[in-house]
Amino acid sequence: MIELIAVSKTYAGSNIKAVDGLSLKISDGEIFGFLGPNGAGKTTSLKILTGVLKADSGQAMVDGTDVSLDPIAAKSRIGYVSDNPEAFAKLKAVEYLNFIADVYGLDSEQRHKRINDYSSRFEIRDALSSSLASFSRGMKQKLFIVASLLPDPQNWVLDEPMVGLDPKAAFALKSIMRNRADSGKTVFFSTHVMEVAERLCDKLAIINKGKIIFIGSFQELKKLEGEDTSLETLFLELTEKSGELAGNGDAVL
Amino acid sequence: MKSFASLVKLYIKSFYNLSPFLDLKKLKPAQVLKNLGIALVALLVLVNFGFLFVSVNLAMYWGLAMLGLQNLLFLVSSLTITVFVFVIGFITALSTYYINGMENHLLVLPLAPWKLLAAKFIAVYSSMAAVSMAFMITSMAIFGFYEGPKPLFYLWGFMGALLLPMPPLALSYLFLVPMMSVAGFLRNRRAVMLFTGVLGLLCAIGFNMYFQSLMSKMADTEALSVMMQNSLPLSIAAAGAYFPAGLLWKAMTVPEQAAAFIQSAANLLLCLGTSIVSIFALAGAYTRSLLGFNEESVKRLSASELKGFLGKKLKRKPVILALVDREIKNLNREPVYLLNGPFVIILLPLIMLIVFLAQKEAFLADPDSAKIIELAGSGFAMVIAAAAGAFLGSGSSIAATALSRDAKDLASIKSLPLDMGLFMFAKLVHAEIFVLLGSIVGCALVSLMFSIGFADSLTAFIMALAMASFINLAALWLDTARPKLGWTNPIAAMKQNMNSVIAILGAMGLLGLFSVAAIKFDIEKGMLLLFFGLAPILASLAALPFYKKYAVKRLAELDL
Repeated sequence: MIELIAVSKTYAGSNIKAVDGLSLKISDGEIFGFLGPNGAGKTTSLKILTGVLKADSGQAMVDGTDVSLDPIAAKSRIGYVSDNPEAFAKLKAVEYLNFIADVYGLDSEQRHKRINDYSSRFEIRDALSSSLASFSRGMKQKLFIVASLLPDPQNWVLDEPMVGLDPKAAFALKSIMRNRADSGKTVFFSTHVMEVAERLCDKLAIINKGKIIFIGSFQELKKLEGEDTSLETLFLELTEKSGELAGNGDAVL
Repeated sequence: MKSFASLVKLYIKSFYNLSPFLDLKKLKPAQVLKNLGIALVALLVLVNFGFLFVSVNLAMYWGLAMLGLQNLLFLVSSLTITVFVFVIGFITALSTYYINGMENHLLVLPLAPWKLLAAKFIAVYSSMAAVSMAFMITSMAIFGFYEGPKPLFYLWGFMGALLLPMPPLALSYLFLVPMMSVAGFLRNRRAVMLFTGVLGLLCAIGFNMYFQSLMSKMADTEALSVMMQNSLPLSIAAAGAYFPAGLLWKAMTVPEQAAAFIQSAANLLLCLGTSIVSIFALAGAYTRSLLGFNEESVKRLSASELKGFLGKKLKRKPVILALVDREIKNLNREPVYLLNGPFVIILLPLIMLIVFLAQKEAFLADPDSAKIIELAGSGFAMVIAAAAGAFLGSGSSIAATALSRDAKDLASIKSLPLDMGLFMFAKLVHAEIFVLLGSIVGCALVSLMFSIGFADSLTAFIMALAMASFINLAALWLDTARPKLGWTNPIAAMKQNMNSVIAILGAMGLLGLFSVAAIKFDIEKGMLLLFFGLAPILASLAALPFYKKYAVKRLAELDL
């Protein structure tokens, strides 16, 4: 279970709140989509949740553990796919996976099994002896997804996971997401791909200018904004409306 | 032409990282202070080079004046500049051949190939022209002081200084472009860095040997004149073969005659012409050689290969070993880090050995040296050994750049369930490996030089290890407090990192104090070991828990 409670963050040297009093709760067994325009605060929220950034105020909880109070316990329950393709460029793919397995304390048998299984599913197993620097964006993304699954985390957090993936890998990713949610685990991901969010998510949140402007299921969103509309149209309407309201100094939805 | 001017500006900004200095209006007080610090270091470097140029020119002038051939100073200066620019220009042109993928973006723009090469040529030329001008100004000042030449002499000198770097730089590209077009293995940033790094080190050693051999004869003008006389036939032959140097020399010898005007005009045409023709002739090949630069292909293993490979590689390690292993791999696989970090442990003793061998006779003949040797016999040699070991041990910059070098991985690292104190401790362990190596090398060399006994060598080694470890921890603390995280080129994390400069200067100051205190107060061996062996170890051990607490807090606060 993941919970963000009234989280706010302003970056050093900026006077704009990247995240402004954000609250959301994701239950076990749920796939939760996080939508919003560029610069809305999605990555900042995920970074606060995974302990990469420190919130100015509010709490980020993972399975009841506050990330800022007991970061190691909280992070050991998370598998995270970041949006940074430049990380670990000096390592070979197998060295990177082995390093992650060491950090999460996986025994030799577990790491063999999971690395073989997931790297085969994402079709990068035969490339594991290569350096990450030689990997394409899509291959790096596959590798980071494999690495995030190694500890078999209760909470899977993914920042723009579809970037660079070929259709087969995207399909594999979506089915793993569904399987994990069905087995009672939490999946929390940000995306710009509306079709994926529409088809996959049990619940979604739309964020704009650091504030949540909608939270609920797609069906609830449709009821609120009108039936027979795609998520893409609803998203555009909502973000535009909230932008205007914020521009007028009024409160958003 | 606007696009060409913009391109030149872009290259110059990328080469020299001038933006923090240029945007003066945007500067905050901390940035102003930092810039002042950088300016101070730059001034120190300038003073160093100034001293080098003045010494070389004075030695050449005195040597030639003894033979009554002081007018040849400009021939020798012109040739020195040409050789220097060819070597350094070649290395600079090679290391800037491909700048971090910038070329990939430029290649898709509608820019004529000649613009790409000419802009890069100008950017490299600008630094070579500055060096050439500095050297020529020194030559002219020394000659002007002793000989009082006519004003036109200076005009031809300035003009020549600007023109001289052009042909050797054009020649560098004439070598480089075909080389890059043919040798595919060199079209890789890592190979280029390694190649230029090794070439640069060899050149530094070569220049050092030349400079030291010249300096060792400074006190003996007769030896200088013999040296100059021996090199004259080569210089005159070179002037006959290499027109720009010969033309400049002739123009400066008779500055007010009509011939000087003609010679300078001819030089202008020759140098500019060579550069322009080379640029246009090479532009197409240069652009083609940039295609696919730094591309790495993924190696695919067969099913049978994979089984053995994964079996061998996937083994469990304790987290601290996994972290140290990662530190070692990250450093060793980046040539910029390797050459400017651990390699110092080999390079510094090598340079010192060259200085010693070149100056050995002069050193032994100097009456002050006898006092040093006498002091060495009375236990001072152990202090030198400890200081040398501690300096080498702490001089690798590994601790002072530890967090800065990790800028690209840090966000991902922070998301892992890792004790950040352990993460930083792994960096300290990595640095300590080189503390150990540096201390061994430094102490062993000095011990051999002064024939120090085993017990004293061991005492020196313990002190070196203790002091270097203390310095290392301070350097790591500095980089934790002020890491340089916003870089695109690894050179910025290591070579252009102020933390590394501060750590080296701090180490020099501290070790200087140690040496002075040890001699001045004639501290006995047991006390030395207590003050400079046990005390730094205890101080480091006592500081470690505070550092850990600080590092954890600091890393949590870092906005990435």
